[in-house]
Amino acid sequence: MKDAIDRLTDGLDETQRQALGDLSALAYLLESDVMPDPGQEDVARLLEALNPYLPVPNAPRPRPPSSWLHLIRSQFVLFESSFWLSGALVLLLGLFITTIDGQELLPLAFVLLSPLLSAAGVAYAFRPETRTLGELERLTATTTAELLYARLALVLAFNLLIALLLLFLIWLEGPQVLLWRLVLAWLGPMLALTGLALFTTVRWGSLVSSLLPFGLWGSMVLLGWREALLHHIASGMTATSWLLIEISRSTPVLIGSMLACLAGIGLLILSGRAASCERQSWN
Amino acid sequence: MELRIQGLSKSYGSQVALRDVTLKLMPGTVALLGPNGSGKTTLLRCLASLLKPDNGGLWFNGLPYTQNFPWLRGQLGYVPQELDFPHNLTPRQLLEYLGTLKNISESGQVDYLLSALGLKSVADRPFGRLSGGQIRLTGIAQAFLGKPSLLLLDELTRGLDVEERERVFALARKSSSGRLIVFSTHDPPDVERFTEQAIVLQQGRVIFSGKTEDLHHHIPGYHF
Repeated sequence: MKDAIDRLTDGLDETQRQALGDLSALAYLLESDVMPDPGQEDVARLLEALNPYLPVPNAPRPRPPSSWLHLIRSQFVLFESSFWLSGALVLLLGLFITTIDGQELLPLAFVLLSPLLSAAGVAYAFRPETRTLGELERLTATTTAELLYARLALVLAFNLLIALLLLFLIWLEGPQVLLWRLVLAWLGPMLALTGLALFTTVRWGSLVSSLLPFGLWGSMVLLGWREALLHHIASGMTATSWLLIEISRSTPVLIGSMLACLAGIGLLILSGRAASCERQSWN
Repeated sequence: MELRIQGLSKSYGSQVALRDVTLKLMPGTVALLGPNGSGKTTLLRCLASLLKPDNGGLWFNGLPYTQNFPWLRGQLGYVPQELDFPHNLTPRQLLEYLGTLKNISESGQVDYLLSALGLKSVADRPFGRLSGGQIRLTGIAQAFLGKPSLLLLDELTRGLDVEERERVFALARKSSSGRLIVFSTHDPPDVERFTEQAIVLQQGRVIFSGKTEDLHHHIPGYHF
């Protein structure tokens, strides 16, 4: 009891203590009146009542453009040299093959396969990196969607550069091909496949994202090639020339490519949303 | 600053990892003790928001975890039990990369942490060529980036020699003011030298929470 009284009169001198009189009854009451711990429901009710007065955490602000560049640049360290080297190798091979006369089939094969390069790049960029780094990335102020788009921008920019160079070389070889249509015919599938690769990576992991776009695009190339083989004899052209001209002049291909562009962009946005969902809340 | 854990439970299939854990933690340093499989890592991963508990709630500064992930994750630093960084990266690259993701504008932080933990000489050496201790020190360094108010350090001194432990404790002591540091360890001397508060878990339950000096009164076998 003496401790309790001492706590009550802490900081007072002797005269002040005496002026307060006997505090034993008060000290006893305070010591014996133990408040029960609040239950979960009480806590929830109290928090709800206090909610309007609680400090609101800073809502995530949109990232300024300069910060985006900084974020994209920071991703360079995560890409091993093999990624850049394999892209450069594809370009060099394409350049080499394009210069060989009478080998039209090979450059076409490169162009047809280049959307796969993007899908493969996405699968690589979003491969399951070490678990530790993945977890530590989640515990930062950068959202998963921001990280996803920064990495994607890097992969797309690199592959776009390679593919545009190759398409330009094909156009130099055969000027009857409409370059802008050919670029669009390539860009559509590339965006669609990249979007598909990203979406499947976010939802089901890197393996599905590698297999699905490859399978879809492989089937389309095989079907197109079968058509070309059937028609090139009648037109008197090589199958490659026929297919390139057909692709670059065909209105259905143009419309299909535009739709594929839109589908790709839609899938990229969906991927960002799917990636952000877990991060925002456990609910 | 306050971290409140209310009735937290977590199971992996039929194996119960945490049972009705209720704690209130204030700024300071708290050691998390217990035998292997007692739930230390699970509790730290729940506190780091990496694991969703089956039941119960977590509040940081009065705000529920469930609704405040982006804000909360900007407030915490975490060292996982197992550290596995990409072999081609170097400690400096890793710290600069995570610093960018944490939006740290202060350029000297990476150098300060590398220097404080004695990593300057290996800062540009890939992880594939570093010792386990050096990798753990880098893991600890990244947790301190951005001066977080909640630090969760799993197996803090695992694989560190005496000198390395000293550096870690010196850094933690320097940065402990106004923060909550929760670390798990199997080494009683770490607890004795570093903190006065301890929590002991056994089979997912809290069997002790209080001053380390009182620990041996409550749980025979814990002597410091």
